[in-house]
Order: sequence, then structure tokens, then C-alpha cells
Amino acid sequence: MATRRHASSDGVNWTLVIVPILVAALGVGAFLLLKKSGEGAPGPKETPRVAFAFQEVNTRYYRIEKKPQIDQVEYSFAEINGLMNGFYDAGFVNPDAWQGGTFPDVLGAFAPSAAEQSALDLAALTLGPESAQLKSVSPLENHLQITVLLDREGAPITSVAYAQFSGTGALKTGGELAIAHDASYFLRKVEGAWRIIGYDVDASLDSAGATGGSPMPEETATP
Amino acid sequence: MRRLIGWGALLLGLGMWIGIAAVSLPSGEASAQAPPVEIHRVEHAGFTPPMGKSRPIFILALGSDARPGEPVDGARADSIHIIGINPQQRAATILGFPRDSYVNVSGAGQQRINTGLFYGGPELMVRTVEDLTGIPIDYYMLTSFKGTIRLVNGVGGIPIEIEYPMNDPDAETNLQPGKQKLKGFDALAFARDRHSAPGGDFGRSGNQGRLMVAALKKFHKEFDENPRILIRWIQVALRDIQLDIPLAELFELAATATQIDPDKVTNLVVPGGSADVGGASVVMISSSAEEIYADMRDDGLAAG
Repeated sequence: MATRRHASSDGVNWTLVIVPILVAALGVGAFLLLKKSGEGAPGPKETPRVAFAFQEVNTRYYRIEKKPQIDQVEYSFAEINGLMNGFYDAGFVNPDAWQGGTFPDVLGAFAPSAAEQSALDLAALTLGPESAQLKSVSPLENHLQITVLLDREGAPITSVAYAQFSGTGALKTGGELAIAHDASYFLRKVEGAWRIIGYDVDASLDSAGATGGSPMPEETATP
Repeated sequence: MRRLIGWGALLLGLGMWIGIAAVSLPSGEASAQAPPVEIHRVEHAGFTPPMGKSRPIFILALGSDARPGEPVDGARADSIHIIGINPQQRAATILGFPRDSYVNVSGAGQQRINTGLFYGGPELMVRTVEDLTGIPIDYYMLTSFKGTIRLVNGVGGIPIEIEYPMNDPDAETNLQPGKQKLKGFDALAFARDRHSAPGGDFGRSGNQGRLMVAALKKFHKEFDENPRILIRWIQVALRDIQLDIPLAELFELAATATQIDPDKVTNLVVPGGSADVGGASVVMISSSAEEIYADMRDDGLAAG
């Protein structure tokens, strides 16, 4: 018959001492492990952000007299494509470029003659002040159409770029923002570089499916 | 005592667990979501190049009656219009002059206004109109019968409302009232018909302006569907219009046109009446036309 051992009145019952210490030690260890993984210490490497680029790009030129100078035409297509990619990356997709709603990289795409008005129209040309409410934007469908007019010598002289952009913004307070932007840009070369000299823009931002309870009146952003 | 130590150690361990859990988990206050925001914004913005001008833009639009083999800029002007454009107000005015308007043609004396093209080409026409109206002309555009047909066909025809039956053997019109899409030949006939139009030459000049407004409407409709057409229209225009607008500025002018509301284009003909000068039938422009000129000089626009 097993004999139950009882703590002797002559010695410490080490079970009652060791077990709580072990429990405490396990707790500390778990905390430290959780803390480390939360702070991102050796985990998977962050992938660098890929700048926005239009999925579909359609190009065309129209000539008046002489045959096109093809190398200049192709270069113009590429330059305007790059300008528009950068414009929409800075104006809609890259949070680091929003700069508190000032969008400095976007303004650089305009010719001096359009600088003043483009600054006034910034809310229509970009995410506008609502960028402060957003964590990120995921592009959806987007298309770019570039048309170039050649001069009588066959060199590109002016262009119309038609951009259609749509995306979904993740709101900081939860929920999503539907973004739709439909714009025509008139471009010409200014000091050797293609710049926007005019535009015709339609923009729409619409929140959908915001989570949580009813919004407090002072926190509602209205058009 | 030993039991007390044991229980104390156990409680200490439990306490540390609870404390660690409390620190590790998000606090109840911080994890509550901020109230959601509502965003509903729809916005439009448009800007066209200022074309280096802080005042309205004035274009002299001319149609030559040159027959085959005749120089376009050496015949007579069958169609004469000043187009005043106010980009800031997104509006324009078209002011027509009957071809037989009796005016001073610089270097040729009192003549029918259309002879200015014959005596000195579009440049003399510009000077003549500037002398008459005091309106500074920035550019001219000149086309011919054939050019008009090719232009209209090049853009696929122009929809327009025909207001009355038009059947003029001289102009070769054969049009019934109603909405129609005029192809090149019919568009030219419409613009040349002065026997069907009420008011004769005045009515004809008015119809020429209506054709321009209808073309602007079609341009807008097509641009809204596909902005690429702006350049296509320029290409078509350059084939058959002689003009003194540098190509880059023509592009800017076309871009400006995308912002001009066709419903805010006023189509006018100078007031006046028929007269006889030395056996020749002419049109005498009324003095009340001075008010129209002054209005247009001010902001490019005149009241309808």
C-alpha cells in the first residue's frame, strides 16, 4: 500500500515553493516571447513597395505632313507614361507622397502656366484632404490612353492623356473608400520635358461599409 | 510557516501571470474603434491654357467662294464671322457679317466686305474687320467649298436641327425640317442657301453660325466619349483650313473649346438692311451694331 508522504514538520514542502516559481517563470518567458514577435524582431523581411503603374496603356499618334520621327514618338510615349504613373502614384497610391494633403510630387507634373490653378484644384486632381483619413489605397482597374500630335516635321508637339483610375482606400477608422478618377490631361513640351498645361477632371470619393457604431457628428467628413 | 511560504509563492506566481497578461493584451480602452467617418465627394475641375492672354480671344473665320482652279485666298469671302471666346466664363459669341455688307476695305475704298479677301487675302480681311469693329483679331481661319465638305465628312457629319424646308437650286439644298445629320455636301449647301433662309443674307449668315455651334456640340459629345478625338479633329482641320495659328497654340485653342459650353455660345448677325449703291445691291450695317462691337471688345461676348 502506497504511503502518502506528508510534509514533515521538520522540512520545507518544496512543491509549494517550486511550482509557483515555475509558473511565474513560464509567464515571464511567454511575455518576453510575445513582446519580441510584436516588435518585429527577427521575422520575415518587409517587401519594398512597388510604385503604381497603369495596367493598360494605349498609344497613338496623328501626323500632319511628314512621316513620324519614330524614336521621338516612342520616347514621348514613354515619358508621358512615366509622368502619369508618377502622378497617380503620388496622388492616390503612395501614402508617403501625400504629405498631409499637399501632394508636392503631383504639382511638379504641371507647367508653370498651370501651376497656380492646379494648386487650387488639388482636391479634384488627387485624393485631396481625405488622404488624412486613409491608411492605404489599393488600385483596381486603371487605363491610360496617350495620343500625340506630330508637327509638320513629324516630331511630337502636343498630347492628350486620358486616365481612368479606380481604387479602394482603407480608412483609418475602419471601412473602405471607393475612389474613381476620370481625367483628360493636355500636355506639351516645356523646356524639353512633357508637362500638363490643362485638364478636365471628374473625381469621386465614396465611403462604403464603415465598421463600428454610429459616427459622432463632429467626426463626419462631408463634401 | 512553511505552508505560508508555499502559498505565498503560489500567489506571487499567479499574480505575475495576471500582471503579464494585463500588460500583453491590448487595453480595453485602446482597442475600441474610433467612430467611422463618412466621405461622399464628387468634384469636377477644368483648366485650359491661357494662351498667353489675359483678355478674350478673337478669331476671324472665313469661307472662300473660290471655284475649282481659283486660289482660295484670292477669291471672295462667302462667309465672314468673328468668334469671340471668353475662357473664364466658358462662353463665346459668333458675330456674322453678310457678305454684301458695304464697308471700307483698307486700300480699296467702300466695297462689299467680301472683296477684302480678293484684294488682299485673309490679312486684309483681318484689317478690314478690325477697322470696322475695333475688335483686335488674334487669328484667322480660311477654308473653301471643298474644304468645308472635307472637314464635315472628316468628322463624320454634323447633326443639326433644320428649322424650315430648304430648297435652293443655287445652293443645291434639298432639306426637310427636323433633326438631321448633315454630311459634307449638304452642310455646305445649308451654309450657302440664302433663298430659303428668312432674311436672305442675314438668315444665311445666321445659319453659318448655327452650323459652327452644332459642330462644337458634336466635338463636345465626342470628346466626352473619347478625349483622343481632340487631336483627330485638329488633324482633320489642318488638312483643309488655312490659318495663322501656330500648331501648339491651335492645340491649346482646341483644349479651350472643350471647356466652352455650347449652350453658352451666342450666335448673332450684325443688324442692317438692304440698300442700292450705284445699281449694286448691298447691305448697310446699322449704327446699333456699334453696341455689339463694344460688348465684344469688352469680354468677347455679346448679348443675344
